Amino acid sequence: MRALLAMIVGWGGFAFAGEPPHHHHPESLPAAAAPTRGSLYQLEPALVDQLGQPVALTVFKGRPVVISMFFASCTAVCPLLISDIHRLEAALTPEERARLGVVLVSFDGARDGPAAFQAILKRHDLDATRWRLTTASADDVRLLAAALGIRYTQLPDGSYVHSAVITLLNGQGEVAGRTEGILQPVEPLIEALRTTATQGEH
Amino acid sequence: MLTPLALAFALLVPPGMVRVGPGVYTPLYPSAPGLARIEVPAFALDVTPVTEAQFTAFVQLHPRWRRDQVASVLADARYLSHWASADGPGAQVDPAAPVVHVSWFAARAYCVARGARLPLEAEWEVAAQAGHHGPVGRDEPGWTQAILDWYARPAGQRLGPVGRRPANYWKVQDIQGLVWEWVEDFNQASAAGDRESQARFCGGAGAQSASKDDYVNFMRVAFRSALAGGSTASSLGFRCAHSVSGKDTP
Repeated sequence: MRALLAMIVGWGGFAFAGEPPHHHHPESLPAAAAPTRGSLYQLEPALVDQLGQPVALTVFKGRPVVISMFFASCTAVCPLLISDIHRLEAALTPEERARLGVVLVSFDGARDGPAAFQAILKRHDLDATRWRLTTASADDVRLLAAALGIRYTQLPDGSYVHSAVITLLNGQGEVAGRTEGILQPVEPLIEALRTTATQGEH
Repeated sequence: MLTPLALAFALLVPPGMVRVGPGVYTPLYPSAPGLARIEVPAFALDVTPVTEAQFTAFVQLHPRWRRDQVASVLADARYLSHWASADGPGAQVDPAAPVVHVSWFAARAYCVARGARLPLEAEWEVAAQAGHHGPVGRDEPGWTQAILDWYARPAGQRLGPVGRRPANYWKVQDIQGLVWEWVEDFNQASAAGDRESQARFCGGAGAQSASKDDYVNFMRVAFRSALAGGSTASSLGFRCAHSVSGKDTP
């Protein structure tokens, strides 16, 4: 029995034994450079935004980006998740805020779309020039969730249970910070954002 | 001479695959009461896990999955680390052994390149719960004990070739006893990496579970819950699936 449990613990170690997600760039990288091997911009999900327009995951490339996953009809966790990102924005200087992009990808490609997204943008008073609320195919939802370390399951009523993860990407699409759970302090992400800004996105 | 119906079935089940199900999967930790019993429509599944030789051919055709070119968001540092070089396993690895040290992203890309997909967890479990004589093996003498014996063997031992073990009721081979296998929805909330469920696992739910049947399933649930999409391990491989009726994702 002890050997079996030790195996689980051992495998758990495997899961987190990969390369650290954050790579340091001593020199400034041009925004048009090809994504690095540690970049989420290596993924190419087909996203559709709140205007019904196709949008690339790289839409805010060269700028810090907050990315998370949600669904519009969610009444429990998701409004808090959006409030958390809003709270993070509010704690930034106006200059920092103007540079920050926000990408939210819905789990619910079947029911979400421009109408639901416009309502959310209005209800939360979000800056539509910097926020992209998007849908993707079921395959791309699974891909992004796996890349962001988000777990989810669709329930029989069509809604979703999911982990609430807010990820900060640097200008190259590499993970610079991450919080898990709602109503977390925003300071670690802000600190990561400022570190990223001084590391090469002049 | 094939009847039209038999011919249709032959066309629906791709070569190297067999038809599995329909069946029912009852997860140990359902996400919701409505998911305590998951009905799985019939699907097609590879008879054996994907081999080192098959994955080598894939990597040679798709260099972005070479270990020296793969994006680090798609595979950890141990990805294909048992291969002698970036373009092949070399002479020390049995080409007929199941490929291991592959991430979920890589396994998924392999199946998609074949026009297939990874099996859903519920599909995989339906295939794996079969005995030699029926769709549910746990009441067959020695069936559960054989799995426990395999789980108790240390990982990292040299893996033998696929296709040498007796097929189960669905004519599927090696689904128990050789390697652990990726499933499409490994990142389900039911086995969430959140604090609550980690506490549940650390509390020894497996040790407390009512029966050995629960225990073998618990082992797989716990294993999957520890995985990230880029994770690789020396005893973790995969096989592909295909829908035989309706759409690809139920």
